[in-house]
Amino acid sequence: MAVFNVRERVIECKLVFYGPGRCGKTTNLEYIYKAGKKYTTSDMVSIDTKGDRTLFFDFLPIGLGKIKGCEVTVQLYTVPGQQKYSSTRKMVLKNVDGVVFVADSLEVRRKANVISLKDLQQNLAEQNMNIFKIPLIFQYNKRDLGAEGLPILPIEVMEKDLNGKLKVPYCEASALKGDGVGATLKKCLALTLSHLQKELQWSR
Amino acid sequence: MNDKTALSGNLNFIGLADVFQILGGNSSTGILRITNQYTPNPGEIYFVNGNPVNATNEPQHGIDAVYSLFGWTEGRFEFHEKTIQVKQEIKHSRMEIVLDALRMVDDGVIEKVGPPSLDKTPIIQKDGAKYISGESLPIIKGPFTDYSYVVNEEGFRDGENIVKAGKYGKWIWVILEGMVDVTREMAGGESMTVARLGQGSYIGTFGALLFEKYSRSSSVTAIGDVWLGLLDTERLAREYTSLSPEFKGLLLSLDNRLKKITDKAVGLYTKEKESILLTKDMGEIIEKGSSKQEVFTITEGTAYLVGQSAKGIIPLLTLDKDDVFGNVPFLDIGHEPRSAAVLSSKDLKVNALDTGSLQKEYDQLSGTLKNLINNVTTCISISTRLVHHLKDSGSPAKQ
Repeated sequence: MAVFNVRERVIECKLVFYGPGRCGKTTNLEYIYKAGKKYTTSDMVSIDTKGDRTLFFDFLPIGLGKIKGCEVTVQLYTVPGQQKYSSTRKMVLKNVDGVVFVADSLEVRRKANVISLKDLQQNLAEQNMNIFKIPLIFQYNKRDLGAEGLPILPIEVMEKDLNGKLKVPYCEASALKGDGVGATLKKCLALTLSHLQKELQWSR
Repeated sequence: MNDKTALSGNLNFIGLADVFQILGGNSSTGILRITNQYTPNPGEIYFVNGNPVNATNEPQHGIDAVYSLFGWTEGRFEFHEKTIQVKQEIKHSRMEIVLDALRMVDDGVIEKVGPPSLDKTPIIQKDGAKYISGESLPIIKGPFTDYSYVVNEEGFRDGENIVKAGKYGKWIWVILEGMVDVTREMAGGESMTVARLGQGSYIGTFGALLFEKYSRSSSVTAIGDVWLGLLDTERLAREYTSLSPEFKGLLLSLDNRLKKITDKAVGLYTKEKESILLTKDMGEIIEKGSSKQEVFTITEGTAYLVGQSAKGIIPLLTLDKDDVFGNVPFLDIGHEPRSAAVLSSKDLKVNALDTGSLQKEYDQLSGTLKNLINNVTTCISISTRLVHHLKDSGSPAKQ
């Protein structure tokens, strides 16, 4: 659940990029940070966790409007994939408002995607959250690699593998080039905010 | 003067990472003070507009002090709103510190300061007999001593006997420097080390504050040279006398627990026959993991404290008339309700105590009496771990 800073009239929500190692989570965040530099309100924090870097920054999306007169700010995080980083993972996933699951389109990474999604479900459950209830978006990343002759998974196969039961929206992307990154973020934000608005109305 | 406690709590409920985010979100300015019973000095972090600017955790300061404090998994924190005029030594952003510190905790770079683990306590072979070495036991330490309670200081040389089991004596010492071993003597002249106490720990418990004769249940020996502070027992006894009968009962019951759980460890070590027989008709009066804030004193009958280990259920000790059990808000002894259950005999009769008034009395105690209570609870929790360890590793054969 997002943090409501009543004094400053700000609702701070937390989006997390999750996915198997080297799937492009950090590339996504780096692109957003560079492209949206004028909207970021903090420096990007980059922590050298083994296997993957852990990234964090604050972001002030424009044109989203206000909720109950409050500005909405977004904290963006990536999660270190390695098992041993449980303290970091716990902190990052605590009270998360929305998740982008970045899946690797490379055929050889098919199994890694499935394992990582199961991890996400497990890690959310440990925080008393349900993967079926939290705002979630799939991003099928590295679509450009097909054109370079590398074997990639057809979208239908990835949908069946990962999204068969969840049935959440997805985006295709090539994060290295920036394609689809903005669209993913936009979709996830819209989903997260409508979810938050629903929750707010319940508590009215 | 603008100095007030704006936020306080327990670190095992709200971790330092969360505290950082709360203070950051509120752009708070002031001092965050953290204390725990395993280190003599508190740690302090200075915040200006929600960002840490400096910190101390003796002997470290600045960013290193902040990182080291992330290793404190237990303890209390207090945030005082205050104008800060310290040198800005920390330039890192708040979230960078939090994420980097958590990574270092996971990478094992930051030392964890919390209840010591007995899982790896080796039971070593000595002269043909298996034996628990004092060296393999964690050293129980306490917070800084209030010197106004120390009436005399005494030194003991390595190996010198400080207290002899079975003898009478009403002194309570606090360890100012060095460490001691607490041992139980068994038949055949053999002895077993049941605890190792270090700086800030106490020798002697609440029993010494009573009017009745007080016989020592264990022996205490200096390990290396030790410097002790003799406490003003009269002053402590006066404070004890002023307490409500319920609170006094609680303290004496803690003393009882420490004695009984130590007896249990010794019993397991010497392969004594299990004296606590659990039967199916016993009802569970406090379920393990229950969060109900209930405290009872036994007026009739018996209750049984039962722990759970990888190898099954472990009967820990029996509770009799006048013993107190339940969820005492300010005590963490590693027993019920978080880590053990309480079963009751059919004829058990209890009186419920008011946890609110117990808490109030605790809050008003002197620092020294509070420290003494914390020391006894830590000893109980370490002895309980020893019992679990002995049970799980199979009690060693006695020669």
